[in-house]
Amino acid sequence: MPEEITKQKPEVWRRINWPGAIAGVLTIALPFMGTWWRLTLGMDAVIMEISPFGVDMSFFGEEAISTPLFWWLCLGLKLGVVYLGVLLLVGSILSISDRRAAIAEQFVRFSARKLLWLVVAFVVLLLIVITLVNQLPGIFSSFIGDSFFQLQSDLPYYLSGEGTISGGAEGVGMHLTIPVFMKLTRAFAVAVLAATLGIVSRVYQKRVSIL
Amino acid sequence: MSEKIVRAILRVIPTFLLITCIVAAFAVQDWNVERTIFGEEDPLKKAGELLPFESVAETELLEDVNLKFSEDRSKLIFEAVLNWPLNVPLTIKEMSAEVLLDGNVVNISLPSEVDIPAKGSERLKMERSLAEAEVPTEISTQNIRNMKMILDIRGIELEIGESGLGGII
Repeated sequence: MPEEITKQKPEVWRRINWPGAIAGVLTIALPFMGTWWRLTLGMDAVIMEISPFGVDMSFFGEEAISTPLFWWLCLGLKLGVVYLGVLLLVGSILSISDRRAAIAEQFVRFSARKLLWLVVAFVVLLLIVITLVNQLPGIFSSFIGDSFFQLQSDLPYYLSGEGTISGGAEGVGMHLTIPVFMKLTRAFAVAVLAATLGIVSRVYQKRVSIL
Repeated sequence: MSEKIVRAILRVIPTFLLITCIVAAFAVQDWNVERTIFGEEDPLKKAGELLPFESVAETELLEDVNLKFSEDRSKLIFEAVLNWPLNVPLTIKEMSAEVLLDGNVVNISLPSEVDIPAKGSERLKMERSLAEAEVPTEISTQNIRNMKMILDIRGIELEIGESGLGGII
């Protein structure tokens, strides 16, 4: 009898989908880890902190507009990601039970890849914005009196590093140089890690379910 | 529970969360669509307050401009008051001008950087020693040309040429 127990114990631990459990915990924590990407113009003249769960902006030390609808949409996304994390965690642990193995697999299958899409969508969206800003100088154009004010940007496409926005209005005798600093944060690294582990967990879940 | 029902429930929950949040956003604002979408502050007004460069261009940055000689006529002195309209501190990194003295061009510049507080004013003084032969009998601000300033606004560098200084010189 004691021999049977010692045989079963390691098997139970082996039937937990560990990559899924870790990815689940990380996914649950993700909405509370802060910004994924930080953009600074000048020293701290304009600061933008962006993640799928919110956008914080400050212009010369003043907090910029955040609309109620946007705030609630971000809350919805936070809850959605926490929901995915809970499913991934529960599915990964439930796989120890033979009776719940089928539902565990469904939980993992449903939630494992979603975070990857979120990370990919976030990166693609930033790349589109950077491309538009770099390629369409008209975005930063306006008239100051009779003079045409135009800025040209040279932002790095790899989302981290330094760039510049510069230009001016010849007629007004004005030239502006704005250094731009971009940085992907640790929270983004955690998101990538969680998304990768999510993918691994989907493969691992199949291995676990045949044990 | 059949697999199909579980799958359907799993898919419905995120949609339900999102719809609930959208409904809550409108409900919290008493179903006022405009206030829910744009917030309580007028975004255009707020953006106008925050984006400063147009107001810099419209403000006469330099006032009370004075060009004179020192009492012993050994120095050329330029004085002016810089009015800074924005709610952020400013550093004048460079300021220079050319002064015509009897057909000769003399360059004057600020000896060091000048810090100006938010919405503040500061008297600027540029000096240059003159050789005796360089000193004309009369001088006025009409003799100043090619005035340039380089301003640093929290890391943003704004270079303003003569026409950008409000046409006061």
